[in-house]
Order: sequence, then C-alpha cells, then structure tokens
Amino acid sequence: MTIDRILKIMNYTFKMIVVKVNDELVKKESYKTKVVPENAEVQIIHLIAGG
Amino acid sequence: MEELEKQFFSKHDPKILSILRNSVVGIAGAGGLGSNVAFSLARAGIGTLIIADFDKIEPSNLNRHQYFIEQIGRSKVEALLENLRKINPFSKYEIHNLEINDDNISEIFADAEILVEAFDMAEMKKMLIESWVSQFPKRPIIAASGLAGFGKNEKLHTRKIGTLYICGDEDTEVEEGISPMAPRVGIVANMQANLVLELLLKTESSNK
Repeated sequence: MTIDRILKIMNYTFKMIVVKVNDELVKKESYKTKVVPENAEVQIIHLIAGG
Repeated sequence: MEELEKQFFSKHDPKILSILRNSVVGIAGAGGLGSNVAFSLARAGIGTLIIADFDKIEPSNLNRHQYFIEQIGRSKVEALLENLRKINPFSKYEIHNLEINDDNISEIFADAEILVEAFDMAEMKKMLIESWVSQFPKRPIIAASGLAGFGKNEKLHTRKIGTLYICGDEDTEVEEGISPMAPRVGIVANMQANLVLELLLKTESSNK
C-alpha cells in the first residue's frame, strides 16, 4: 500500500503534512510510489500555520 | 573572560555554561517565534545563533514579536541583532536577510547543531522540515505547530518523531478570529528554546 492510498483511506485531507515511515521522512514526490512495509509505523504530522 | 561577562554568567553552572557557549543553534524565522527564541537562547548563553528572515517589522508584529516601536520598518534580522547585542554582547550572532529555501538551507545553517523552525506559513514549515531532515538526518529540528489564540495552556505539548520535534497544540491555526497573541506564542517559543537546551546538554552528558 502506498502513502497516497493510506492518506485516501484515512481521509487525510490536510494539505500541509509531513509523513514519516518507521522514522524515515518521505517527501511528497514519493507519496504515490513509496510502498509502506507491513507493520511499519506511519506518522502523519499536520503542520498548522502560525508563528 | 572580562569582568562583566563573568558576572553575566555567574548564575550558570560552569559545566553547563561551557557546553552552551560552544554551541551553534540555527533559527529559521525572526518573527513571533524566532525573536522570542533568540531572546531566550541569548540570555541562556548559547555561543552562536544563526538567524534568517527576509521580512521587515510592521506595527501589528509588536503584539508578539520582540521588537520596539522605533524599529518599525526595519529589517527584522538587523533589528534583532541590535536587540540581542543589548541583551548579551558576549555571544556571536550571524544574521541572514533573505528567504530560506531548499537550495540555501544547507549553506546558511551548515554549522547549526540544532535548527529551530520559526516560520508562520505551513508550506514553509513543511519545506524546512523536509529539507533539513533529508540533508541533515542526524541533526534535530524543533518545529512549532498550533499556537494561536489564548489560554488552554494544558493543550501545549512537545512531540518527538525521530529527529523532528513539534511544540504547540497541533490544533489551533492562525486564521480569521483566532490571532497570534504574545503569551501563547511566547510559551511555544520558550518550549522550543528549552528543548534546545535539553538536547544540547543531554548529548554532552551521554557522551561522558
């Protein structure tokens, strides 16, 4: 399953996010191609404007 | 060390002081978060601060930025340099009056052991985090997300995801009706600064 599919299934509509798979950062260009290994820890961090 | 410098740091634990004086910390952004982080880290005695921002001071900034009325209209990093030198003239401040992007980040913050993300726009936060983590995967980056409004101290927290740290409530966005205000912005900025100290001092003590 790719990152892109995971985002769709989880209904993640946030635009500004950072994705880490097993602590490794995955850039936006790779969302459609990076396959998430089974049992991997996926962290999706939503970045909020302000500062 | 000259006399005033000795007195300035007299309340510091000498072992802690020498670590901080030899540290280099980068601050991306000199606005609400960045100027507050810089003030605290300068007072804490961090040896070198590298600060970058392209913006100029506007009157509405003063409700949370660490600048003064007579500095309105000036470049943020230049005014910040002036203020920092008045607080702690014993540290080194390297300022860059430009916009940070994927291409210049590694050059500007080459020597920074830790980077503090102090931008306002979500797109810039994302760019900075992705750029830093891919170019310097072992160096911590402390970002801020969700700090608008007032009150709700209990929702502010720090989350660690590998070398990425997020300070804020990860919820409250700056938008119509919810403005950034000094206390909450100051708290999150100081959570970032406090975490800088923790990481610098923890690394050193675990190397012993």
